[in-house]
Amino acid sequence: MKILAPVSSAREARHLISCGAGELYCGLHPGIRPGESGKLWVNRRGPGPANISSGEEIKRLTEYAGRQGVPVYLTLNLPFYPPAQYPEIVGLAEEAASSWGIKAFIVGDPGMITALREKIPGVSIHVSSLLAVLNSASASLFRDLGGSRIIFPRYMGLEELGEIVSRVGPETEYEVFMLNDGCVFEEGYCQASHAFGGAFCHQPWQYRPIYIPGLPERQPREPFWQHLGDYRRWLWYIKNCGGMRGPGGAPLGMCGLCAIPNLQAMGVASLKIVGRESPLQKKMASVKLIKEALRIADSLSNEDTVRERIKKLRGTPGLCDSGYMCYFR
Amino acid sequence: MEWALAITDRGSLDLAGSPWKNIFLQGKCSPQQVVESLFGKIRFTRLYFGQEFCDRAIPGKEDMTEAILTSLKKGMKFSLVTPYTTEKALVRLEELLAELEDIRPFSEVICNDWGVIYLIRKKFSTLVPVMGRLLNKACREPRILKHLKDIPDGEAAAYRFSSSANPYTKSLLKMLGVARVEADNLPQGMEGGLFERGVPSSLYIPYGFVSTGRICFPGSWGLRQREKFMASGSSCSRLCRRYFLEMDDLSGCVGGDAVKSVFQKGNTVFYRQSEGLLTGGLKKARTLGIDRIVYQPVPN
Repeated sequence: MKILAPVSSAREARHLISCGAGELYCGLHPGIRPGESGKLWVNRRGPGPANISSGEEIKRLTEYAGRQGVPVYLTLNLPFYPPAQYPEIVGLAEEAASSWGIKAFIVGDPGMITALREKIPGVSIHVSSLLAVLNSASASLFRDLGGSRIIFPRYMGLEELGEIVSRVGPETEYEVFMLNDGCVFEEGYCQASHAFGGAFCHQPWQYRPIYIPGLPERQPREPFWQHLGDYRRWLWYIKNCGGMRGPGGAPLGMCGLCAIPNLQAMGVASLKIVGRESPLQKKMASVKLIKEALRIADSLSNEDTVRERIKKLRGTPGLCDSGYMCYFR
Repeated sequence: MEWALAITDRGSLDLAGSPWKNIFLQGKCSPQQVVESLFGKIRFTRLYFGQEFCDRAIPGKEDMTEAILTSLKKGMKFSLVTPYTTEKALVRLEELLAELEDIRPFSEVICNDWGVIYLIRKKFSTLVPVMGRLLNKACREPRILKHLKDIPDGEAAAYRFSSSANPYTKSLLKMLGVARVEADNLPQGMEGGLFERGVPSSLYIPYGFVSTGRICFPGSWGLRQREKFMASGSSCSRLCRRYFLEMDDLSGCVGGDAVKSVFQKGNTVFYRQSEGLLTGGLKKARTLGIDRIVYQPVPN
């Protein structure tokens, strides 16, 4: 089982690998190039700390990582690209695979998967969580289209996850979210954009329940304001617990560490840390936390004991017991 | 132009006899007035039945049979609407598809999950898969209108496309036997192209969806604190049949002429198309190659 960490520079790679990252993923924002149809967004983040700004820097990063035996993947995870950008993205991917040392592409658009498979023979594709693979039929389709790895979306039930993996088979690799950052909605079916004032679901909406005529009115006993309070509490977890850190310095927020024994048993290959834009310290703390959780899981045979020890490692029993911080529940 | 009436559940099938009955959002903009002012009196010749957004609400076999009988009585063609689907629900859906193939082969199935398209391709060869609007990605952002004026033209154009408007997706859909592609009426306009040329296509009115997910905020209302906001939770009191949540935006981020209001019903946020957006979308439909309008009296 490998730890997949986000990386934004060659310098970061050195630290993350030394902490235990076994795979890295990065993004690219090349800016505007002459003759292009518009500003080229390659993934879901624009210019800034989430992205590397040049192929040369990616090359430096992959060269270092390659010497340590750590593969680097590039995110091409926009849910769709305007038609004119397909040739540009395919060209960029060709260059990334042949010259920059990128080992696989994380792709969120079925059209782009088709284009990459057609234009770059042998290309390795990881099926992004943006494609919302929620069932074995969907996983089988993307496997047949050439996906070598399925990245499952957040909040999968462990039982269902196991069923999908066993039906699709061990030839495909599987990756799950492990630390940091939740989504209120299904990422693959969210068609709002963070570019217009941040996450749509984080907007301070005021909600008012309206009764729809036709059926007998039947409100729950719980007052709506109380439920809204719980919802806002849950949002706080989704939003990384306000950026707080746990007692050991590890970031708080969405977490799947307790599920490691189950994930190991079903053959999941990769545990993903979210947050290409995060500061290096947060990324390193996340890698260290998973590494320690894996060590605990490897050293003990009783799953309940493993979970207890991992919860202790987290150091926030109150937050863990709420259930709101869990990717898998 | 073909007109389809979309009904989500058996309890609402009486709408097939009175499709314009205003049972949901009251307001000045009447979709009927807009439609009839542009197209004259129209007749719905196809019934869409089923759920786009929630796999817990996939209809049972008897519900579907009742809907098929209703469509036959009204002289309407039939399309089964299906949602994004977890592994558990896929089993139920497979049984429903088998039943549909038995009693009404060659029916359309509106697919909002790639796995359902694959399943039809592999196991139900007489059924006709349609790429539902949830799979046809686009920027459905009610806040975009406040920002659009600040975005350079070249970049703004990128927001007027959908994911099916390229030759690679078209060839994938062809390979999968997908017969039609569906889309929402976008607040920012659709000039860039919602579809690749030559693919039959549908447009939904009078609601567009913004975001949807397996975790249901209204559906958790009344549950114990620990059971709330679970994607795989089994408790559901079906409050979405009785209530929706009006969403007020204190920061004024939603606005402009295209979006009348934003609300959450069940696990999904919708925008209600304004009279201007509705009129504009319907006027442009033919030039965009749209040959079917899907009218939803109630959004899910």
